[in-house]
Amino acid sequence: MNASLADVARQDAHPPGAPIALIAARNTARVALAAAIVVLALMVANAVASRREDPAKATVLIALQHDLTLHPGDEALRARVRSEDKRVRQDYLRHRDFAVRGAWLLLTLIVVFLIASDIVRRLRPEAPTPRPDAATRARQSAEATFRAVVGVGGVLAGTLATLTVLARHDSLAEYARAAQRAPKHAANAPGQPSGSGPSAGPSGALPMAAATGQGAGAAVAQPVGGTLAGPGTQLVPMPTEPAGTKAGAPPPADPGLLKKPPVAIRASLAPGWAENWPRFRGPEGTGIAPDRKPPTAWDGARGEGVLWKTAVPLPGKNSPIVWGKRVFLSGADASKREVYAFDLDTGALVWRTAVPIPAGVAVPKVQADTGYAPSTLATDGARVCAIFVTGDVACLDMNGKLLWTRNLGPIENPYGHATSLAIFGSGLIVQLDQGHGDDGKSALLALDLVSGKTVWQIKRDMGSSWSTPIIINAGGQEQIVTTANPRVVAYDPHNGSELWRAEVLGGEVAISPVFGSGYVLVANQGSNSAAIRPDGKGDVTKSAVAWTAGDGLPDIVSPLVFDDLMLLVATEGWLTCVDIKTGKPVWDGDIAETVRSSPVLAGGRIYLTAVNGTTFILDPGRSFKVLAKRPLGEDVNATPAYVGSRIVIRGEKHLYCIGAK
Amino acid sequence: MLAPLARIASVTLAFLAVAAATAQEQKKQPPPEFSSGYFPPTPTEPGPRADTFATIDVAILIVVLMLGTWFLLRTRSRTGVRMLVIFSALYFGFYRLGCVCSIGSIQNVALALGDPGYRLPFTVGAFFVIPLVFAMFVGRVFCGSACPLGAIQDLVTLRPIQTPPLVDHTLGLIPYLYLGVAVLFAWTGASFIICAYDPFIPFYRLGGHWGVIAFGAGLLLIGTRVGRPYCRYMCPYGVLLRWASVAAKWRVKITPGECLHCHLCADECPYGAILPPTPAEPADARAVARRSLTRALIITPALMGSLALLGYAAAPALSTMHSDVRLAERLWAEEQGRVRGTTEETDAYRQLAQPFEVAYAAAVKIRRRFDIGSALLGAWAGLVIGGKLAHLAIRRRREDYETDRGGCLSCARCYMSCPVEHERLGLITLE
Amino acid sequence: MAEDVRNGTPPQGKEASPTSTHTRRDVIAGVVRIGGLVAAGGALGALARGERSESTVWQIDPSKCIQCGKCATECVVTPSAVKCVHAYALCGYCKLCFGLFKDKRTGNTLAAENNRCPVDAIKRRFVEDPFYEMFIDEPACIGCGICVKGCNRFGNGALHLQVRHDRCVNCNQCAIAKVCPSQAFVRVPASRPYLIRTTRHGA
Repeated sequence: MNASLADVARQDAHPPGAPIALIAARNTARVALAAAIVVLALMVANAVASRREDPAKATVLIALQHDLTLHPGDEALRARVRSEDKRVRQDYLRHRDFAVRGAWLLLTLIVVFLIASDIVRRLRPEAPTPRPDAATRARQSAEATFRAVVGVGGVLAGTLATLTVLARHDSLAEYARAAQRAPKHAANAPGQPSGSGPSAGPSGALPMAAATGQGAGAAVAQPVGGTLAGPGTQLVPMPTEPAGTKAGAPPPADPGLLKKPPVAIRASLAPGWAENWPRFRGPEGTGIAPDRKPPTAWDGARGEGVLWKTAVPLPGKNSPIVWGKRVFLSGADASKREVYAFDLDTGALVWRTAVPIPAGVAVPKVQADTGYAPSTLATDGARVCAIFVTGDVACLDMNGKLLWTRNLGPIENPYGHATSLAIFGSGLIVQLDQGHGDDGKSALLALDLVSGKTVWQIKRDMGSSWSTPIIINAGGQEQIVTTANPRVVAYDPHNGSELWRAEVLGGEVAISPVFGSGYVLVANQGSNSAAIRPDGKGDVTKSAVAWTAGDGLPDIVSPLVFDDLMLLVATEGWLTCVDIKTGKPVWDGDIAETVRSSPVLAGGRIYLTAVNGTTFILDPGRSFKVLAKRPLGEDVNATPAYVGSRIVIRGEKHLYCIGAK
Repeated sequence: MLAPLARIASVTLAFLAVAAATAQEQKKQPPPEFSSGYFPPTPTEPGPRADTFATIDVAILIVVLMLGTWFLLRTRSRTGVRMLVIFSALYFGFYRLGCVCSIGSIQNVALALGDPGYRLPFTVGAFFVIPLVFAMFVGRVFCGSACPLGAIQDLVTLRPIQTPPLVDHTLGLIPYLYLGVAVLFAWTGASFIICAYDPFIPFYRLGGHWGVIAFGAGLLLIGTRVGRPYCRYMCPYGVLLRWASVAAKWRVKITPGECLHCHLCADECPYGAILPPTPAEPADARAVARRSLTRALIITPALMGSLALLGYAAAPALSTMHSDVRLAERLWAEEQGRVRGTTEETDAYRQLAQPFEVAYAAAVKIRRRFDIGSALLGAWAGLVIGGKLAHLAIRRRREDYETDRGGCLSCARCYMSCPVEHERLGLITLE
Repeated sequence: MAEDVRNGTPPQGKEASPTSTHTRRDVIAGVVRIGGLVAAGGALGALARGERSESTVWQIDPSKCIQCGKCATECVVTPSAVKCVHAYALCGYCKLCFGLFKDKRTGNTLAAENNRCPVDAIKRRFVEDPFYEMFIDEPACIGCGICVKGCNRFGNGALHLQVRHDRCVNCNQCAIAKVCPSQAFVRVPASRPYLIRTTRHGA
């Protein structure tokens, strides 16, 4: 256009002068440019003004609305709120429209200016003036150019050097170390905020016994960082309004303190762990208690061999746990929950502590088979912890004093959350499987037993499950082994990092894993039983699964390992014993009773309690042999606790202790 | 106040039977059973615009490049090229809003090389490769005809001045360095800085960050006198095109006949891309040039080495461009009590069910990458500067006015400045 | 004038220039071209890994979104391409919708002082007593996420922020993603451009 053939022709046709077209074009260009500058200035002003008019952050309006909630009857204030709201929104829309219209106008003006300028240039071409000297310019400036390029290099080096200085305080080495191993030093880290409430002490570093008193003052601890996993999980913390807080309880800790570094887990087991029955299925969590000497003969219906029998105030499907002379369990209905401690010698209810339902926490609908307290407690000998279907975790001291509570709920579980608690050293392991797996709602958490703060938490890409994690030591590595649909996943209990996973399960997984003969063994109805070598890394489905099999799959009762065999118990009473090395059935048998309680190996025998209360004592051999049947006279859904020479059985309404004085 | 309300709501609402609940997700407020036959609608999901245009964009790009080649080399028509420029500004700019563009595609390619999880989209790959392939045969037709960023600058080039070679050479280093930095940040997944600081995109979108708008407006103002400042002194894709077009088979030939050495074309070129014939040089000048070349070749490795070391040392600072690194370092500082309070980012991370070690490990991985990348960036910068010094020392002999193989932006302005062209077209007769 | 310039040219005339250099240069250029073509084709083929890789678009992962409010202010499009989306299948049809009503309010009318939405973009239509269907007035919505926050805290989380692809210009570097504090912005395949939660298993 600007240099087309027509232009050249016109160059000759129009000698220099000021034809009307040139004047018009020149004036058009000038006017368009001036108008564009004005519009631009107005747009800048508008943009500056609209930054103050964000309707989502209208400070005056928000303040007025706050006032109104304090004085709800103030009609004048109400009117002001409404008019202010209207003004804010109108202003916002006006600014927005102005910006759009202004942009188009500006664009049009610039286009007009460009076209007019182009016409001006074509109407008044500059005479071509060849400049022969230009040929030598390049050479003349060569030295200067050379220096300038070197200068650019200098500027660049200077910039990099400045960046180097900026990066002087580099903490990479520190957090790289933290990324590699458990954050043990986090507990001893300097710079914990000082001043502060009772929970601010270096709780993680305290010896366990001393920590009881220390933690007692901490009372209700708020969850670290508010909700557990953001909006997706709908894990809503206790409401911020302290309306439901128990009178006399200290106010929630200063929010700033909640950001404190979480404490690390100490791995050491509490002294006495192995002799007691500190969690679901005993110290190992696998029903193995070879050092116990439980009785073999009793008749609960007639009272023979029963040391004591005590009524439990509130119902619950959770299994009793025992530490020292105390038996702990919980009970709940839709409106209240309690934790109980009974004396192991006398059966006396030593204490009962109510765990209040925090305000704003809705109790979910649960199936009757689940109840409101299906999860078994866990204790480390200094504290006892419980979790309820609402997602409330409570920690009490051995005297029944509530140390802390946390709400990790609501938990989206079609039957009700039933996974029991586990303990690793100073950490309370909470498996919170919920939803349906692809929604990012499930998680595994470690809470500090002393403070209730989250030590670590990790997302699980699995849906609802009802199984309980076990903690094993395989290949010099402590592992938390979990089962859920569709996989078995092991985690490092120090920091929650995933160690391995194997995709072998399916259906609604309520069967906890067991560990024996070097294998993690799992089973679930609707999928498989499987043996997994727990020494892999990452997805070991193809590499570490020794076998999968489909015989005698259970759906409620967890397996039991003895010698090289694994006992699978179907709810209907079908027993299948498979060889751990091959997965092939060795024997099967039928006890013709419904079973929901998991088997235990104690005193060289297998104890399996049916729902009707009859305990079947089986021979742990390579054939099916029932040694004895011992009735209780009351239905049993929980797994009994085996300590010393006693068995503590939870019936539907009563707690029994079988054994001698 | 809230808790009672929530309870009222839950009591008010019907709940699903447990059997149904196993199939349905358990929620705080189960969906009610409607008696009126109402069924909850599904939210609308309007499809992305880009997908519809993916293939069309590539086709249009090829057509524009072919037409540009035709106008440039066959018909020698500035008008045709200018029409294409206007079309590209309208289509790739205003209609397609500047995305997808070849300049930004460098980063997608770098990210695809660095992150195996990122797959290079077909369109982006095509936009990266096609202009380069064209450049290997016919020079930078893309810059002259198809590039929307070039188009807007071309349209505002009102009264261009000749920039001194010193300015061209020194500012001309920026694109190389910018390319290095952009590739580093894209390869490490930190940021796409070419796109984030694209100065002209706000004009096509009629909106954007005010800082970028101001930067773009400034460049356009400069661009009325200094032809295409972004293309010449910033554009990282221009570096690749420059290399590719050095191998071009068919290039812009200014004069259709014999060069008259009138210098009119060099005056007309707004981009300083027409090189004058070299004057005869005395023998000692050539010896001097040889010495400077030797010197440049010797210092280049030293320059590369020292800048690589500096780059390696600057890696911690550069890596903070990556949000994962910022997050991890902030988390660590908070954990160690070195800073007071928390940030929105660390609060958000704490809400995720992730141990801190995951954030640390991610940051460590990125930091390792930055260590390598920053050192390479330093070496690259050394190579660029050393190469430029060597290039300055090389005296290439030219008998006629020629286009700079790499620097010519294929705008076709020079044709009509040549008296021989006028003669060819029968407009004038040269004596 | 032209003659003067010509006098300044080096003594070697054009015809004297050795044609062999041109040929050599052409050969080198040809080799570079072929090499470049092979490299470009090979690199592209390797990157696309045989199959036609799909374009990606930006989307918000609702499980990461913390409703910081930056979506409303940082988008290059005004008003933002991020809007609230109602996943009806998740909705509990709360009588007093937590996305619609403020938690601190002085009555249950939808007057300004009780309406959570700053731009009045949540509307409701009557379904049957006592249920209302909430829907988003998309042209009005500015993507601030205030309602999403309310619904997540007290309701089912049926309201999400999502990038609406009829508005999104799909910047190569999303301006919101650059500042998103929770790294909720992810690239998703253009054929499945939404991350709206549903209730169905395996959906």
